[in-house]
Amino acid sequence: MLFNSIEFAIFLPSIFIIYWFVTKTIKQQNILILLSSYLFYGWWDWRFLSLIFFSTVTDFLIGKGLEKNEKPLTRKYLLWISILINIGFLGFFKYYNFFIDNFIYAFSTLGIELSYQSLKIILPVGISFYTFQTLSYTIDVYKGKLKPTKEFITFAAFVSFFPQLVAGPIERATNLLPQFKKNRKFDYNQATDGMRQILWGFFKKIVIADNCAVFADQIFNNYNDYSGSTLVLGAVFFAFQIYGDFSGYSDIAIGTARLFGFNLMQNFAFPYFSRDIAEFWRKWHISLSTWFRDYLYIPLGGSRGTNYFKIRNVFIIFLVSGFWHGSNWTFIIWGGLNAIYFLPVMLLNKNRINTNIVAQGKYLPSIKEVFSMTLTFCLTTFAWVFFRAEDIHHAISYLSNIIHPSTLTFPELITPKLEMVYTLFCIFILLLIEWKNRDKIHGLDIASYKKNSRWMLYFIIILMTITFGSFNQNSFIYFQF
Amino acid sequence: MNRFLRNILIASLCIVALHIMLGIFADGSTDNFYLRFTSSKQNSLIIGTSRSAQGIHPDIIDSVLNLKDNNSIYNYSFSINNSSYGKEYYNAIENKINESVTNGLFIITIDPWAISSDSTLHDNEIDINSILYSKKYYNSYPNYEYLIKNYKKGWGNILLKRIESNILFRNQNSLSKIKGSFTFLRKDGLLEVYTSMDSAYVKQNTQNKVHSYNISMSRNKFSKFRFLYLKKTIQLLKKHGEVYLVRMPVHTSLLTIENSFYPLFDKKMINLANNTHVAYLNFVNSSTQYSYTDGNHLYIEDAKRYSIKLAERIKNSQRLVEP
Repeated sequence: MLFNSIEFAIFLPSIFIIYWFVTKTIKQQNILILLSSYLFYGWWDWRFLSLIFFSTVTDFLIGKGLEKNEKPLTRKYLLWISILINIGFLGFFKYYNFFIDNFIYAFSTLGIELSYQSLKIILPVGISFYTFQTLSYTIDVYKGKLKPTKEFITFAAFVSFFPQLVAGPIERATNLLPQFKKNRKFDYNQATDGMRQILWGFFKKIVIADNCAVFADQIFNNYNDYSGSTLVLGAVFFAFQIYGDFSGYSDIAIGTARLFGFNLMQNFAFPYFSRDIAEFWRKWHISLSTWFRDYLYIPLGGSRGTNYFKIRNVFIIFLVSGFWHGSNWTFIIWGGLNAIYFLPVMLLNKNRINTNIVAQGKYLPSIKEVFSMTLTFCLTTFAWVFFRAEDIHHAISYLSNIIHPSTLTFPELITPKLEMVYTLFCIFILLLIEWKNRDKIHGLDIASYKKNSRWMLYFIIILMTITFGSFNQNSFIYFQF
Repeated sequence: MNRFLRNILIASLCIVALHIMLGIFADGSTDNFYLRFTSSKQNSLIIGTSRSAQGIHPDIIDSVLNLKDNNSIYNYSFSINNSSYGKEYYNAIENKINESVTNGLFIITIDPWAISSDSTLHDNEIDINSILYSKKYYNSYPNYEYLIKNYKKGWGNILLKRIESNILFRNQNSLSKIKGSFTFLRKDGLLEVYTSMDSAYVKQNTQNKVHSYNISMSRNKFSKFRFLYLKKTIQLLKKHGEVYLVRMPVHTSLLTIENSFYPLFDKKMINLANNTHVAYLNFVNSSTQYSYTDGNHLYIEDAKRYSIKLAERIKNSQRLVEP
């Protein structure tokens, strides 16, 4: 079920009413969450519920096993069983064809022709997300950071919690699981702010992402027909498409969870206002970045040791992160590019110089800050070209066409022109509102505003969504990951 | 909780009320089909795909054939993806005709694509993406069913489109200078397409169309199901008046593709016309007399010339292939 669908518009209020008015105990609430989450997921393809269920049972039993066994070797075996099963599912469904195709290609370059037909494998929606979430549980139990839960329903509800099941934020068991065990009471302020975040998420998805997608697709798919400056604009459209799409999903997910009394972690913190690439990665897809930091980067040694180890670890984490996004070399290059961007900042020990809010307490940034933010945005947008491209050839051809005198001309207006103009206007409004609230948790975190200003802003955003929004029920980009 | 629910309810009601209001503003600028779902039941119809939607002017047919107000003809053609002959289009036509009328005029335009379908699909699947699929209301104004199911933009965009079309129509010069294209659906069902007729632009559009029809040729095949429904449509309309089967002119490059896709098409249509006792008017031999926006659709001014010619042919009630 998509957030931007009529089904969800019926589903959410129905579950909300039953949750607060019919269920009486935590157990009943958890059962309701579990059933509704399975319904939410099964709406897409009920067959893949068995995967979630299997993953849930496996990690639940392994968690119990870890509690019972104190022998380090047995505990290690149990941990590796969980890792192998979860990563095995992910590997099969997501990477099987990639490895087979590359294997055959590698042999063909040596003159050995192997005949093999790729399997038609459907990628289960959200598998990369819930796999990492259940893994975090097992690893934390193994490390003794978390006591395993004894209640299966609670654990199953934690794994399949519908707001964040298919595209994150990837929650840590240490944060989310205890919330399933606590008594939850309706909190007006929490629910109201949740609604604000949902509204902002829809604005980002329906108005920004889906409109930008029209032009990004048009330009990327016909890149030979456009001037260099238009190709630059196409990359910028994609930068806002992916931001609006993914951060919009996260906002809707976090806002929805708040309606049910849960607090999920922040996933985006206005990343396009970052002054360097390290700051960008502290603000973009935070739940994944910190997951890799905690479960991969730090166990590898992090930024300790010699420069060789530092460089190795940075490359590993960014390449794995790229590969996590999809089984295509374009994602790996995207990860590699970000590693290259990150290295000088880290090696010069400047990766923590921009930890404060940009231009805090001021209306406008300084010239230096504008320059830093623009440079960071240009670097990330350059890398996004690889992320968006169909294959490496596409990305390189696209970038080659930018290196042309026509890049110095004014970009062409793409048909439908009126839509293009108002999409640019909407991007401006997005940046304006997010800049104003850049020290807050989300773009529409305006609880401190006066009542009239708040309602005025709601009205403007709703009106813009109704006027400029695309209600095509376009899927979210991150569903494919 | 009560305060929260009250606020949500008020906001939701305001949004619903706003949408109800915005729906009233929907008109011919909204999209290429909406108005055809809002017009009342008709006595005379032009049936077919986008060729006839853009290429046959109902007002000209009315004037040449002297069709009076009640019997004035309505263009109920959609597009190849929406109104190829089949169950959905048949139902829509059935719902659009005044049940009591017996002296109507019906122009059924046909081409090989309108009776073909994707060879990989079953008959019950071929029209599931049609705009006519599972509709209940064909003649209601405003038609909220259509807007909810088919209008994929925010409804505020209805107002924007209306403002845009008003500005363009107020300044006719802007219409002639248009780059790209602008469409407006008239109340009589004609789809007006204003597009650049710059030769390079038209050539490019024609090449694109040739490319897409070449793809269709490899993917599609003659559909017995569609042909059966074409026959049923003729039989239905014959109960309500006079029926003419018409093959419209098309650019020679597309005609070549059509002829190789279905070489015996004309023969099949002549047989159909003879079996159902209707006239078959074939205009493909005069294809070079007209200009096209993309090879497939007549340019708006040439569509007027063609409509006069069609009306005159109907007047003469010829049943032979055009010499």
